[in-house]
Amino acid sequence: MDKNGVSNAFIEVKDLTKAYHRASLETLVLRGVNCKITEGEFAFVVGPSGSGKSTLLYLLGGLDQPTSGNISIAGEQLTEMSSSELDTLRRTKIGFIFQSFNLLRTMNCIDNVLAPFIPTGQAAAKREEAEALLARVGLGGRMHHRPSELSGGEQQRVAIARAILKKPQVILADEPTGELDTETGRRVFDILRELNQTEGTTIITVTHDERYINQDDKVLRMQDGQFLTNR
Amino acid sequence: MIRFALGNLTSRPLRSVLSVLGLAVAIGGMVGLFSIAGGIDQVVSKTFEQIPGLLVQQQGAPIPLFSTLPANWEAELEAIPGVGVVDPEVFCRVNQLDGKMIINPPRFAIGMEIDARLKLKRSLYRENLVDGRFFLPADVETNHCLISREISTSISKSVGDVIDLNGSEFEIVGIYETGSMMLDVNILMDINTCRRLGRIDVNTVGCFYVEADDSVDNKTLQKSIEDHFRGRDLRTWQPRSQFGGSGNVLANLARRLDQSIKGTSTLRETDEHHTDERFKKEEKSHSDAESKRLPIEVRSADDWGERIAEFSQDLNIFLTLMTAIGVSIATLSIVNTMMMSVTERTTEFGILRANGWSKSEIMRLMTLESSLIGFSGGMIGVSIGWLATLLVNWSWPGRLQLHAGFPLLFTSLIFSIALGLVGGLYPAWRASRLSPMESIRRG
Repeated sequence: MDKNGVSNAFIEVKDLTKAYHRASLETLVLRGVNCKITEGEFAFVVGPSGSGKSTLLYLLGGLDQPTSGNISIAGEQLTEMSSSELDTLRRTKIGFIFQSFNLLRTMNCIDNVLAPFIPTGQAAAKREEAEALLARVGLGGRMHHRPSELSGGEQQRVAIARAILKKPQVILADEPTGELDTETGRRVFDILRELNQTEGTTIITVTHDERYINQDDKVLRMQDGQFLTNR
Repeated sequence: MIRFALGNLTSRPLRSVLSVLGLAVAIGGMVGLFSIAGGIDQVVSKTFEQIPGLLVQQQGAPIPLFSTLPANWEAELEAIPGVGVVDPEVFCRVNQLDGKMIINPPRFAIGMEIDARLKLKRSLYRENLVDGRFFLPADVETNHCLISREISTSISKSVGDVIDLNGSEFEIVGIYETGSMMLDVNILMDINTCRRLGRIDVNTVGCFYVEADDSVDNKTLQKSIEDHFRGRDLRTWQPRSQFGGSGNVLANLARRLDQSIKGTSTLRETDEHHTDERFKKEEKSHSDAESKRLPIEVRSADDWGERIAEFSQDLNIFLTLMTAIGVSIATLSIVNTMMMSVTERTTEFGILRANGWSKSEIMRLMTLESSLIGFSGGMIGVSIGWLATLLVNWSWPGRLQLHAGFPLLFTSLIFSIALGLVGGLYPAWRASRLSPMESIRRG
């Protein structure tokens, strides 16, 4: 809160619940989650499998609707946004990085990076920028390679380039080093930290692996759909 | 977007190719079937654009071959103001040519009054002579004939050779080529020679070809001729020969069938007693109708064109039904291909949604992919169909004439793209409805 009593949180989650229904069975994945993340923060959501961390991440990205509760990003209530407003938010303000890299296998590196802008017709205009980004993540010589021709670390760097081309305010990373060895994982986090420091991008990472957490990072521990501690 | 869609299709080459080929076969079939109607239209226009005059034939006869009129009406026709030349014609089917039975393509002997024919300002056979000579006055009552290039090629005979028609020998004096399948089946000869060949009564003609002089147009002349013969009763007129006419069993059978279906009066009622009794009764009760009765039809090239266009429209309905079967199967094949694609690419759609693609943009991508299948299938199908029509025309020049013009090819291509689009709509809708989170997690 600032001195006027107004929340200065960039991302604010209030009483968030998410339940899944299979036939008559209801599974409560998130049970009244509350948290705040300030702009430019490097946050980790850690916890065992099935604790609800990834669900929280997807809800933060507007990829699913909560059962109840609110999420606000930069003052905008996600639950009040229309489908097309959420699409725009994801295209312009939120970058996703996934554990399995999730590149489009029919496209080469440069086209994968440009994928968000294909339907808007901006891909050609952003090509030079995309090439510079790939060079920045060390893939300047592999721009025209397809995902199947790249190592796991290289694929994840392409995914990072894709996430940051839009100059997002937030990057949501779901186990970004889950399929990488320690050294490659370290390089991936180096890129994310550089982005966090130079661009001030807020980064929220869901992970099992706590080796990459720094002293200054915000850590949210989850278990059974609830936060245990906030650091 | 197109590059992306193409990449997606080529990444599953076998399935895409099979889907494209399925559609190509259907579209090729469509082009092939509709080229039949196109061929008929082309033959009709090619035929009648070369016949500028009027054809006077018996009322109700589908074509002049099935018409019989009194030969002495020639003088009456000539006396009608505006009539320039009247050329009486008789027809008979050539059943045997050089000793061989003729089934298909048929061959018809056309007997024409050579003196009258030579007076015509426009004579299609004379204008389309490619070898030898046209008839001369000296050819009257001789067994001289003109044949088409198509007949000449098929029997390997040329000018100066002798051919055997229904057991009579004829000398070929000229070869013509009109380019019309309807006309190039004819063997031309003097009218009385043809009468002898077909055992046709000397007082009978099949029809009259009338050329207007420069004083009136065809429409006016048509009306004048109809007015002149209105109220004339052909039922009281009998040619000498019992069966008369062409002597062609098939033609007589067809005429009788035609008459019995329409319920019209017969030209040659064999049961004279029955005929006389009936006519007497009918004449009293229908005197007004009799005065309006028209024993003839006067047809211009446009009339023929309209009549055949009607037939062509009926044929089109049949062809549409036939095409619908193939096209339905091809569309289902596209739906199947795209549904499989949706199932396989669930994660991809989730990734795209996570990167800001909207539902409608996912739908656009999917329908673009299915439309590309439609376009490719259409291009191949249209090309195959077009080449097939050329091959058929080249292989059987006198028997079949197919025509796949630009409008048919273009329409088929557009139709194919539309089919692809429609086939992709449901799978695209399914793809757009997938939950992005579920889609990504499934991957």
